[in-house]
Amino acid sequence: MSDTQEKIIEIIASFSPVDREKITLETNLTDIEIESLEFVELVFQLEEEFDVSIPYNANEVGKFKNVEDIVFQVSSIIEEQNGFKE
Amino acid sequence: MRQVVITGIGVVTSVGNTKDEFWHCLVEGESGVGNIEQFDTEKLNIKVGAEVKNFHGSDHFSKSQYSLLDRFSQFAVVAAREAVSDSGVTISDEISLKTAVIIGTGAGGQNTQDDNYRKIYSEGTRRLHPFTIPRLMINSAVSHVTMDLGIRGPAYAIASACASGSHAIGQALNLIRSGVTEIALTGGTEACITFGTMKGWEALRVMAPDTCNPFSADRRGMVLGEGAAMFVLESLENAQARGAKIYAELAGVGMSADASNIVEPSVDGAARAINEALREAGLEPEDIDYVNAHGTATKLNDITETMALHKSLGESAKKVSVSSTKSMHGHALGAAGAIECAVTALAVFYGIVPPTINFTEPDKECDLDYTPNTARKTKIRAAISNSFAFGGLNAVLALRKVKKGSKNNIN
Repeated sequence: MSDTQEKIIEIIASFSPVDREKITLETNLTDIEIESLEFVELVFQLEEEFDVSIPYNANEVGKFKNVEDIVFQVSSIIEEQNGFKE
Repeated sequence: MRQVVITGIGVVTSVGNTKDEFWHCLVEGESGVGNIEQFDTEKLNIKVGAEVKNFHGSDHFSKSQYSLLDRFSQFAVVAAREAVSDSGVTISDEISLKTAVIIGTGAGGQNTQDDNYRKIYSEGTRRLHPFTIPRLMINSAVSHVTMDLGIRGPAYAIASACASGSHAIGQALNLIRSGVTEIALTGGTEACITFGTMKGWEALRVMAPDTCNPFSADRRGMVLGEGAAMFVLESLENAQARGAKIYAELAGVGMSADASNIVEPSVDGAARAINEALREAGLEPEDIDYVNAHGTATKLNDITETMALHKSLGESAKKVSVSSTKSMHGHALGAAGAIECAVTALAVFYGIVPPTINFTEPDKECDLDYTPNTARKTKIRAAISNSFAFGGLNAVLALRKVKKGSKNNIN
């Protein structure tokens, strides 16, 4: 796992009461108690951290279901918008 | 308790700057949503809004008055003038002391705030215009309505985000019922389409990028609107004594707090407000022929509101005509409840249910009759207008048709 991916998971974990060690790529957001409003803040935190713009509309469900969805999509957005940041 | 009626209506909205133009557009299903024109939208992700068009403050005010008025106050004064003129009421010296002005607004002078703070923080200006504070204060619209029309009774602003207009009208209703005032000029106003406000709304991730299609399965969120609606309220006896045209009886207001979540609505809180409005108005669920829904077109609101209507109206929910006119005039936040009260009063008066436009496909979780795309002519004996605000503050207004020349009320 790259440093970027590690950092994304670390940020996700900071919004959850569940320990970082227990969070894997397969973990569902609902299982680690990240509610919709917290998720909006999480997206903001990721944008701030990596200086990117993440297209996300809370009315469109199903785009980010588990940790892998976020890691995969956010990593490719970082690459696309910032080039090689690592 | 005195019965209170609506005898004057004035509006400034994205679908018309007079009551008649507004009603015509709504019945025809015309949308006020389009690309934002007031400022450069290059740095916005969401570039659409329901802006008031062809409105130039300088056409309505003297130079000295105009320099004191933020856009939200301009809307309120212009709508208030139309409401008073429409009602035919004369505000004499004596009456002016027994007249209230109660206006709802969620945000106040956002244009003034945005323009001036940009100058300070970003452009490095050393001083601001001396009227910055009088223009942006949240009571500014109320104060200017009192000065413009010479009204000297109780006057103040009410803020409850998207329910501000409905809470204000409910408060004015209670002032007349209780005999504190004889007349009330009430409603809501908002001019929230500014760069800063749009960025704030964008950040909440609840905005549609294109259009507003409430209750439709493909809905993608809300579209910000702006404008004002103002009403003349008075007692039924007063209105009848002067032979006034009566749009509808304002029969009740139901209010509640969800006490649960700052942005997510609750079925229980919404249903309690609806039930309370009916109880206060002495109406049964089967008396309601029209519901003007809060209908913001967010995934969550439209499902929650549908469930709340089932819970509060029971079997009658399946038969009632519902529509969200936000599909046409957008979500004008603190003015929304007032603009929708105007829709509801005109619907009751003319016997026409305006449609929910942009309705393409039913959502299985939204199973009511939302009057898709085309207005419906029908007898409306009574109607409710729902407002469910961010922060979980709810206000529902109940309106009833008044039979011409009747001593009592129900038609």
